Amino acid sequence: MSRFRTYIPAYLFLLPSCLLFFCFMFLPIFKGVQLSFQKWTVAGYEWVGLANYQKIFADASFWKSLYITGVYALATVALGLFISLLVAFLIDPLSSKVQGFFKAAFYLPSVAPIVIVSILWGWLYNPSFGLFNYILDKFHFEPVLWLGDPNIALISIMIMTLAVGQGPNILILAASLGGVPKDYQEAARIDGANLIQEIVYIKIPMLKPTLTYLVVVNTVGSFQVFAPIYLMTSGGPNGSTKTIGFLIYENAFKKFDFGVASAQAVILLILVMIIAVIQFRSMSSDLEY
Amino acid sequence: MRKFNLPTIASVLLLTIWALLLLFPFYWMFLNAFKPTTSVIQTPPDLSWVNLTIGNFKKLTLEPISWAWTFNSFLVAISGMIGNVILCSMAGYAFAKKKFPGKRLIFWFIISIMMTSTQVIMVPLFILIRDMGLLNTYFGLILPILVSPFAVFLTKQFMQTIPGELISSAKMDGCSEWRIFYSIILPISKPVLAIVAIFGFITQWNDFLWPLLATESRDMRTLQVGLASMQLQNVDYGLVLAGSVWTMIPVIVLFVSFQRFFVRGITIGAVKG
Repeated sequence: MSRFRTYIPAYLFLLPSCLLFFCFMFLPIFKGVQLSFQKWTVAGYEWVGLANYQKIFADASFWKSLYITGVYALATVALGLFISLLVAFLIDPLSSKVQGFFKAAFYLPSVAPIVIVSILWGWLYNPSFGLFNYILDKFHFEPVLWLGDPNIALISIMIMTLAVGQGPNILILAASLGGVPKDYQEAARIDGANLIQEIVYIKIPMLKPTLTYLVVVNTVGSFQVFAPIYLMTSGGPNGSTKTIGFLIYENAFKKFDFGVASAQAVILLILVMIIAVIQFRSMSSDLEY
Repeated sequence: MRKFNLPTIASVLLLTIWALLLLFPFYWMFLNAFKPTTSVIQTPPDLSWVNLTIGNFKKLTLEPISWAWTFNSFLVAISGMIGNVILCSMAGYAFAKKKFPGKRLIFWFIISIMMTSTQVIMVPLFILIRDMGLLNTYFGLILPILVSPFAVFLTKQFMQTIPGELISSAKMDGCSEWRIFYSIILPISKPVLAIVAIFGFITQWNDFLWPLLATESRDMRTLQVGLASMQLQNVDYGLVLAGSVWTMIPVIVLFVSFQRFFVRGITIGAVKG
């Protein structure tokens, strides 16, 4: 008993934050699972077993959303990290003052609120007075319905994500690259390695732990994408940008079908966890910690 | 002293073009916020420094609702900041410097929350807040954002580096637990608390989804939700841009003043060493 008394201060320090974590993060996850087996009727909640899940899996629009989300995640994560790596490699040899300027320039769009970024890109993409169509017109191309054409809208949102969402990736990769010991480079150069070999055989392997982390974090984030979709296209045109995150929102707050929305959220959570574990395992298999 | 060789010049050129492309829309926003709406929707884009006007800002600041939204945004961001700094640093301290049963388990639970976002828990969280009768209230807006796993993680990492002798000698001198935390740990942890404070403020200032769900009446909205509703209703473009500049000001000020904290905060958790 007296031993327990020595732990009391530690628990008291933890209590306020853990209480909040529990109430507003854990409890909702459990409640979400519970809601996914229920249906809300006038009489209150009633248990419906797996009915919500059956409904979802039988629904073509859910599979379409899953496909759209997968495409969005794959493209934005792969291309985004490619762009970020390229920028990090280009920044690396520059002096720290110049580096600082570029880091700020690339990070600013990421720290700007998504609402404002969407407003600005809404202008760039505007079919009648947007900058992109003006430039196309200058070069005598046909105007493009960036956000209005079902075949292009998702690509437009991806382009926006790739342009403005890379700040953290660039900062993290640049910091990792700065941490690669210089004698490795020296040794490679003495052995007659060229720049490409140096990058492929020395720097990329050294960056592997960081890249693994970034692939997982970026994938988890992009699977849950919501705000850009809501703000730019509201899932349209023709459902072509309806990601799972938006589908959940629509089912819950437009159709008030909380049961189905919760079941979709549970599916999304499980999916994200599985993907994260697979990526982590497959990429860090040859790491030594 | 570096030699300026061809690859360096080429890469600086490439990076400069990319940076200018990214920053151009923001430049256009700042300029056209001071122009009549006719300039905003003209092609080619109006980039001249003539007939500037503060008309849009006049309109914005004469609307009482703008001030309500601004107040709400500040309230949410400052609450998030204070909550993160105080509550999460207390937790970080316990994880860094205390031994107690269940430590690892509780810590991993908190870290695992990092995987989930509001998108995944929005339905049950909304229902929870609704059932508590807190929808469309300040409590409903603020309670879920007072703590963040990221802040706990950052403060723990930093506080682990504080020598244990400091704490044990203070104990010898008869300092109470709270006093040790308040007068020894917190002052030493200023660098990390600054990062937590800045990130806490900006994250909540920029947040869109939770304020969207937690507010119903127009006067309870934050600037982000208000701006989004203005944009979706396609009202006066000049006014939307003025509102955007208005909303960007705190972000820009913090970003320019505390740039190195941003870099440290972003890289601390991800880069080993």
